[in-house]
Amino acid sequence: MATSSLSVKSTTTAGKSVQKAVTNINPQASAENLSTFAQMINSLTNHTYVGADLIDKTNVDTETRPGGGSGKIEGVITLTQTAALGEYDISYNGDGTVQCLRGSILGNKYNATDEYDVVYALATDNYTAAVCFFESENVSPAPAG
Amino acid sequence: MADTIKSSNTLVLTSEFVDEDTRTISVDDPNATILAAGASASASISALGNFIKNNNILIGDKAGADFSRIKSAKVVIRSVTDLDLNDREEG
Repeated sequence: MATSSLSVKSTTTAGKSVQKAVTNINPQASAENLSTFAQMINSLTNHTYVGADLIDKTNVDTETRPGGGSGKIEGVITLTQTAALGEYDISYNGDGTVQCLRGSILGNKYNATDEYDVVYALATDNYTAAVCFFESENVSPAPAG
Repeated sequence: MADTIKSSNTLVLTSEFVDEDTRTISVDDPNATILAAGASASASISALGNFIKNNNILIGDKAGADFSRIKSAKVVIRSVTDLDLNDREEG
């Protein structure tokens, strides 16, 4: 479960700048509501409200972010083998760019250089980056020599 | 010179999630409205709790563990005494 932190920035009556972190923030909450929340927290104090920043805590190695919205991996990558040895047509219907670990991608063509490779989509939004991948099995390696 | 005593206040809000997990929100330097415990203080904290719940601002660690309520609010008064070492005679 991904959560975020909110850094509420304010100044004290003595003019000192302070930041207050509030954890367990829903990363899907709107900026408008987060701003209102930050100001409500600040209104409990003697401080003057300055602003608030959302600090993402998503672990991109273990978590995916299901649901709609920009920048989230939700597309499907499909590789279709062409007549050329080790060459695939790539189709991807999500945000971001398609990349691979070992082979090469040119346009919508992927050229495998190993029996197994990982083709993945990389997308970023305001909060995080995420990867999805699958193995392209049964690729015939290019003939030696 | 005498010892110097400084005090500071922290408002500790305990938020509870539907799975009964709790998290605290500590707010330093609470204002006079909060310190003067009464209807007005509880109203502002109650409004905060309602806003969090209605807009799903806080979530727990587990899927579906949404914010349930602000379970309790306490003002913790910390007192720090700076000892004036010049008052002590050296042996």
